[in-house]
This record gives sequence, C-alpha cells and structure tokens, in this order.
Amino acid sequence: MGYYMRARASELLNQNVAAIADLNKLMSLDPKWKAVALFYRALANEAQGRNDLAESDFTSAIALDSTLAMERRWVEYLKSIQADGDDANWLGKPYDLYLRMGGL
Amino acid sequence: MVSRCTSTRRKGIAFVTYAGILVAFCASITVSVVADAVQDCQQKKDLKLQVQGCTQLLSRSLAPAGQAAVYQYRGSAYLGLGQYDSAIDDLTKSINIQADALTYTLRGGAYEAKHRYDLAIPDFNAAIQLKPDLAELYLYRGVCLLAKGDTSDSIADFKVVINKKPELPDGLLHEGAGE
Repeated sequence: MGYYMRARASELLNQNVAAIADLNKLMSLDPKWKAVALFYRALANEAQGRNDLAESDFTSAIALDSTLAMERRWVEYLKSIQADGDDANWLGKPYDLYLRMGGL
Repeated sequence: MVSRCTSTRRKGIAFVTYAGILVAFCASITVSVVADAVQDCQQKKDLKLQVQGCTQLLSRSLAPAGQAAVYQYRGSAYLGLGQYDSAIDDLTKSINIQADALTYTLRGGAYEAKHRYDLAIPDFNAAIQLKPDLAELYLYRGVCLLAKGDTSDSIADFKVVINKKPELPDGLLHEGAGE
C-alpha cells in the first residue's frame, strides 16, 4: 500500500522512474495488486513517452481486470480536459486530481 | 391481641419478602438490560444495533472512562454507517474526556471521508504523537496530504510506511491504533 501511494505521488511530481520502481515492487510483494500496478505503470510509461511499453502494460492490466478498460477511457478523458485547460468547473486539474484522490 | 400482632408481623414479613423478591427481579432485569446494551454497543456486526446499545448506555450515568469508550464505540458505528457528522460529534466528546490514538484516527477518518483534509491531518498528527510506531497512521496522513496537494510531504509519509511495514495491505483502516 505504501508503494502504491508513493507511486501515485511520484507520478504527480513527474518522477516516473521512481513510480515505476515502486509499482514493480508492489507487484512482487502482492499479486492481488498486479492489475492496478500495471495500470499505473502504463500511465507512468505514457508520461515518459514510452507508448509501446504503456500499451503493453494497459493490455496486460485489462486482461487481468476488464473494468480497467473503462478506467483507461476515463483517464484519457481527464487528461484531455487538463491538456485543453478546460477545467474551470473542476476543483483542480482533472488528471492531477485523479492521481491525488485515487481513481482505483 | 397476640394472634393479631403475629398475623400483622407475618403479613409484614411476607410484604418485605415480596418486596425483596420484586427488587431483586427488577434489579436482575436492569442488570440484564445493561448487559445486553453493553454487548450491543461493543459488537461490530450490526452497526445500527451498536448505535442503539451505546445510546442506551449513554442514557445511564457512566464513569468518565466508560463514557469516553461508549462515545468512541458509537462514533465508530456512525462512521461505518456513513453518518460522518454524528461520528465527529461523538468522537470529539470521547476525545474531550479521554484522548487516545484510536479515537483521533477514527475522527481523522471521518474528516477524510468528508474531504476535510485540513481537519483530518491534525487528527492523524495527534494519533502519530501517541502511537509513533504505527505504520498505518502515516499511510492515512499521507493519503490526506496527497489529496490536499502536499505531495512531497505525502511521499515522506509513504516512505515511513514502506520502511515500517512494506507489506501493509489495503483495508487495514483504523485497526491497531487502539492497541
């Protein structure tokens, strides 16, 4: 749980290498976290521009938990709002809020 | 005269005996009612029943330590029922009588559920002061710090969690603080 939370915080600070290390540790400690860890690792890889790795992680995560397909679409929606700066009605930047509050 | 006196005395004895039995009966019912209320207030399977039991106990005169415990139990039940304001009221009463780490943790959880991180964090601070070795408390505070936007401070708390208890699973909320 500590690794999961720190990974989210690291992604928020754009420290994606540290986030990926924590998510790898999380998966090795507890297999029940594997789908979630893969999902957040995909987001970290995506943030680093490593889209092939991100796509592979998304695919693996969704294979383990099909609800993550919807989660991915939700995250893409949040990112697009944030990128467009169209967040006047939000409490903060939508994708940052997702990482802060935890979508999963 | 003697026989009338004897008869009156017998009636008196009978009355006293009857009254004694009645008092004992009523006392046993009262003891039983209180025992049921204590059991209801302490169990955690049926939260509405827990609230009822605790409310019944609070209607009686309790020693301060007992009152603090019952407010804590009922506050915890309200928290489980999602009645956060009632939980905060009870847990505050409990803290005002006798503060402990579990009660601060529970109230912090209620504030967190209301997204009042500014109020939750001081409660987790207080709990950490009382139980600095409990990894869970740093996790709860870290979650609030992250949600509030204090990302660097949250990372410091998660580092403590990882160092103290790397395998800490989800779903441990509030256990352990009362040990």
